[in-house]
Amino acid sequence: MPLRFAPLCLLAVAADAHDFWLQPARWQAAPGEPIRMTLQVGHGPYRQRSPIPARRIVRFAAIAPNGRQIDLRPGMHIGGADDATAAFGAPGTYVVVLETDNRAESHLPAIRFNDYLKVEGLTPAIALRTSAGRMDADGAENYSRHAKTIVRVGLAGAQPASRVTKPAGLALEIVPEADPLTIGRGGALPVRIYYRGTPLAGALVKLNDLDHDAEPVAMRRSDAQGRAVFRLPGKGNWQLNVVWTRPQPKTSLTDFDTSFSSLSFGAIE
Amino acid sequence: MRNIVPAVAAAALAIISSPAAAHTGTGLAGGFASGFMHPLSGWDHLLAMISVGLWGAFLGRPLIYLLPVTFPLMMVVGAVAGMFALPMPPVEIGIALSVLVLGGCVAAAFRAPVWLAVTVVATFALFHGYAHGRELPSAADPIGYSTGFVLATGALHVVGIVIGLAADHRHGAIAIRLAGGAIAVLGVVFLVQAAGA
Amino acid sequence: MRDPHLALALLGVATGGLTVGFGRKGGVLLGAIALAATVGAVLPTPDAGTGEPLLALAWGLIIIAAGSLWLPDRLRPHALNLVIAIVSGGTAGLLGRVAGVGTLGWFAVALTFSTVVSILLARKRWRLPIRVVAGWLVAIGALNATLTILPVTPGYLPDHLE
Repeated sequence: MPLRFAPLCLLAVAADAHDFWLQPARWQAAPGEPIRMTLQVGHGPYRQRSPIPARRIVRFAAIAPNGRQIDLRPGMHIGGADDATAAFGAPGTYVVVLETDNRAESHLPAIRFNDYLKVEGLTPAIALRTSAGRMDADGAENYSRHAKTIVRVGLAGAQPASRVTKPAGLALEIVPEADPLTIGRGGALPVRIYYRGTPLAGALVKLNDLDHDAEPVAMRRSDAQGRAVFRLPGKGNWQLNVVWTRPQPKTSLTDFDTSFSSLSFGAIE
Repeated sequence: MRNIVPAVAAAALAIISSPAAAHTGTGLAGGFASGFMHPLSGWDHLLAMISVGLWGAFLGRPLIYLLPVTFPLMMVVGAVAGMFALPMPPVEIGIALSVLVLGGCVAAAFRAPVWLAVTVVATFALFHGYAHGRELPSAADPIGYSTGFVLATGALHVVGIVIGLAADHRHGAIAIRLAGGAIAVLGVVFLVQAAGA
Repeated sequence: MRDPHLALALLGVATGGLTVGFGRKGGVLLGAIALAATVGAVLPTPDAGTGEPLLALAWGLIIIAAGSLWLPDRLRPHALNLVIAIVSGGTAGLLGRVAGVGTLGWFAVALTFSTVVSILLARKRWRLPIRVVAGWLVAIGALNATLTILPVTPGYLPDHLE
């Protein structure tokens, strides 16, 4: 390895669009009032509506405060003026979840694939490629999306207990241990990362301000219990995201099966 | 001390470059600034480019202007080969050899005939270009990146020429030859590292 | 179309500074007038379509304009300066038509600045540095022309959109 030092000035334009989330037009609505939602991908100048086809969405539902699951697929109209509309009659905090299959594929040249693994904190994948001598090989993966968003129906004062702090059964999931909508400015927001039902250690979790999302506001690695703690800056539109991957069987056409998970919410204090 | 040159260059580029391109964490090559910094970001590239200028200054006309033109032009040929991933001998070894040989030519005050000097420089330029070319298509702004690293290469040649011309007296000539020797020794180090990698 | 700013700036440098400014007396003024007239004449024409072929042409012209400086003087007649000036100006105008008139500012500024510098250097008989820079521009033009015909440039393609 020749004598090299890390480049001091890498002004890199991110031509990537890794992140995916549910974006309601409003975080609060009156009972029965329609809430329009879009599926968004990418941050900063690369933010756009996701071109995902509807057939890939395997779950689109809301979890009511009493734990009842409401199928929202009849309200989906992917690719229209927005991507879905939902209305909830009873006041309360609802968790809207969306999951896709893993039939999306990404094929990147070695440099970009390695960079993507580094940016998303997928160090086990980097270690695997290194040990297999494949750091110069192009990278191929299947990937799936697992998004949640929190919407509030009715006034804040009369809210029944919500399901926000309970897992919703996503393959990769960010579960807040405190309701983000009740945390004041500077308050701690602990989250737990679950992968296939068990706490996930070592995952890179990012907090984004959706109004200024060219760069994450904060990044944390989940600890041995899968926990990461953030300080909520205050009022605004926020999004947490995490990515995890696992190697595919040797018979697979791709190298990795990757899950992208997000949690979006609007803090009002 | 060894970080001063790239640090100053980075600061200057940070001032003149658009600030809108930063992104946390990614190591992907970017645009013009990233390309300009690339030859400066590795001692092997940097020393080889300066050695071309030093040797050209020593050899005089016409090589003083032929060599700093030959290297970028052949570097582009190498870059195109890299972009299309054409087979090539081990590039890191070729780059390390370039530092050793070019430094050695300066140290030995080797008065090569025009055809030989151009051939040596052109051959090594292929290796340097190939290394840049492998990264180039993944740059977010390949055009800016390619422009940056060609201009940086030319600028480094000019630095070598200026140093070479400024030492146009007896003690200066000895200093230049000693510098060439030091560059050649570093070339041996790079070669050992590249061969062992 | 990819960002044309750098191509326009370097086309301005190669055409104005190296070709027009490097030319013999009389050719300088003629070349400058031809350049300005061509840029102005092209702007009102109908949409030139996608800019990728124009970008490739721009890089090719940079190679030709810069490479022509290495020709012996007897092989560089006034007419060659004029032809390069007209074709370059026309290409810049068409690129401006596709990418927006504002982009021509890059061409105009680079053209003016490099013409002045080139005239001053040529008067001091510093033709060699100009030729060396021309060589670099040939290298840049060749590399970027290759990029326009490369089947895939992954750096431009966003990933994980679905």
